[in-house]
Amino acid sequence: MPKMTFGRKRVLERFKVSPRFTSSRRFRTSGNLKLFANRSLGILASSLCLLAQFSFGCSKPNQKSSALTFQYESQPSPPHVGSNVFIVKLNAKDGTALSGAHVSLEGNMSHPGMSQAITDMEEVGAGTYRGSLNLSMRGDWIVEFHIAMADGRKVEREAELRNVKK
Amino acid sequence: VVSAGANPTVILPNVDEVDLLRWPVVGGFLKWKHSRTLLQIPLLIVSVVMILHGLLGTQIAPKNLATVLTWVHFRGALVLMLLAAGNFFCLACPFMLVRNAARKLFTPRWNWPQALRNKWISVGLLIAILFVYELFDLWSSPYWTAALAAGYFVAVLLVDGLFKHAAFCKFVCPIGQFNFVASTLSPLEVKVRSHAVCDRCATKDCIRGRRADANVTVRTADAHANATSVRAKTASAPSYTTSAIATHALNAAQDFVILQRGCELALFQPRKVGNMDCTFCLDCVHACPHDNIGISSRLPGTELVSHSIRSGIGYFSKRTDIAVLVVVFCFGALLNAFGMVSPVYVVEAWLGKLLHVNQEWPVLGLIFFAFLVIEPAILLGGAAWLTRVLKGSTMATMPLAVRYTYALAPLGFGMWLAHYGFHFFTGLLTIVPVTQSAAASVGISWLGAPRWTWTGLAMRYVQPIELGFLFLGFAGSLVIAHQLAEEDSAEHPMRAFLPWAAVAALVCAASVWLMFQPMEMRATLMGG
Repeated sequence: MPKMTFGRKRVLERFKVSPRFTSSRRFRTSGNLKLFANRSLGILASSLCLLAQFSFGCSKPNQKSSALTFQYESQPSPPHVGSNVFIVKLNAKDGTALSGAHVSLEGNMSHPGMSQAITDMEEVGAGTYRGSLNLSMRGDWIVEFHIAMADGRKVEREAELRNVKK
Repeated sequence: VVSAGANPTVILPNVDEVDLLRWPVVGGFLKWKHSRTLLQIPLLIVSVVMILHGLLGTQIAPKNLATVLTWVHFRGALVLMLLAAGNFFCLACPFMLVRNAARKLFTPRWNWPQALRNKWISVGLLIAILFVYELFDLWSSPYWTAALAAGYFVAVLLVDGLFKHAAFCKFVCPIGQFNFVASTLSPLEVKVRSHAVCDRCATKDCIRGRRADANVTVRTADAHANATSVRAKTASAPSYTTSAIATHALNAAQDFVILQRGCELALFQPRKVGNMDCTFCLDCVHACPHDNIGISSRLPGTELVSHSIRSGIGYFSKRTDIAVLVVVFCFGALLNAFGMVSPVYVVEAWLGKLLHVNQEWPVLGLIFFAFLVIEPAILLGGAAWLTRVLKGSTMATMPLAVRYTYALAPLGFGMWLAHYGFHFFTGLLTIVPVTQSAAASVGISWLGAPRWTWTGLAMRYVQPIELGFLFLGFAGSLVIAHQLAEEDSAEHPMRAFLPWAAVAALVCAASVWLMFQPMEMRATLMGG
């Protein structure tokens, strides 16, 4: 089961169901090109970033709940086209199960404009949540875990499901 | 049709044609001098918002305005607009708004180099965009989609900042070339209402621009502002036209002030044939002192069988570069769709194993070479050879292949329509929740919570539409090939027609097969 501590950089928080895709070419290539673009776009990029300070607040909110750990698993593993059960475990840093959270799942394909999969998870044990998600098509999926903690904190997690097959 | 009276500017409408500029509201708006700017401003705002969201917003593609607008809505709306009307997206192009604003600050100095006055650069860029789209999975990357759009603005400013006229539109812009080819199948065309009026016209303002002598006082404030901002040196008739009139205009224009520029793409209206290279900018409409240019209806595709010399282009049959553009347009449509279905991964994995490579670019390069070089060479070369063997034409193989290549444009357009139409219709409503989400991220809550369940039409409704587009394109290709065959061999047209009909049938069958393959959108192709 993938395990993660909250509070790390978002790009590092992504984890894959299938570990063989972890260092895929896509991400290595993107990194190189991003560096190139950052240099070449020059003034334009700087201007846009400056503008952005007043517009989009650099996407996701910072989650400072470093005292939490998040684990999930899917059944079957790796997930396939059709109905998949996801189980999420939320714990405090000292290992205490975090109950009373509201966890929902949202699956999107890597291509925009495709149909979504959304479901609410049910707490089936102390800090353990369960829900099924219907992945309707083959390909790459991104599953978001929207978590509203009992104390009101909201946290988001993502999992990239590569090469979902029938 | 011109009235026989003394006043040559009184033109009776041709009852067989619909002229958009004669329509009450639409016509009035389009004839308004600032209509283009008014259409460009919203698209520029959308582009800026899209770029910002792409660079700085969520990187989940289905939730980002950059990817949703670009890959779902823009592409779909573009091809549907081209099918239903004409090249109105070039009319509203936001890049040109930025360029025009920039040209108020600096003046381009050079003419586009003679050796590059063709479509080869833009063909290369079109292939490059298709390649990059697959290699870096642009559809799944808001950041890179936004960077591409931003890069487009930079490229426009660079090219048109250095070179006069509309060098970017005519010789560089890959989207523009796509639009030009597709618009050969559009039902509307910017064209003269009466050639008799043009014959009597002494000023040729549609190409030279409407001008005033620099010594003449320009009376109105508006005209004065225009006159001082658009100098003859920057807005005179393009020198790359094939028209002698335009060349003359270039020489003669130096001492004049342009009040309204003429066609920047070197299309001299009386000799213009069809929509190729026409951006629907309507500069010619505004410049014509006789109100003799309209946006008229026509039979789509007729320009593909015309053998007239075309202003700014020459003969289609002698333009190998444009024929290759049509090849890329047609076979690139198949390739682009192939990249989205399951078999592509099998082929890539097989090729990767065969070549002992685990990187994507060489494998993808081979697939591109197969689709854009080998397949067309075999199909078009084979059909041309067969046409000669059957004595369907006496032309040499290469000119024959160039000539009939244009018949494939409808088929390619059908495939683009089917592919982009699919994403457009199935994801039509996704713009609503994505906009709501983007607005919420900047604190705008009055749009409400994102309605993520809003998507679009169900696939079962969209698939018949896709098939309709494909068969419409197939029928168009057959008609054009048959017309060309009738011209080549009046007694035995089938001898020339059948080989090309077979090519069209094969491409159509491949398109239908592709449409029914399971979609599998993956960001990594070589992952196994």
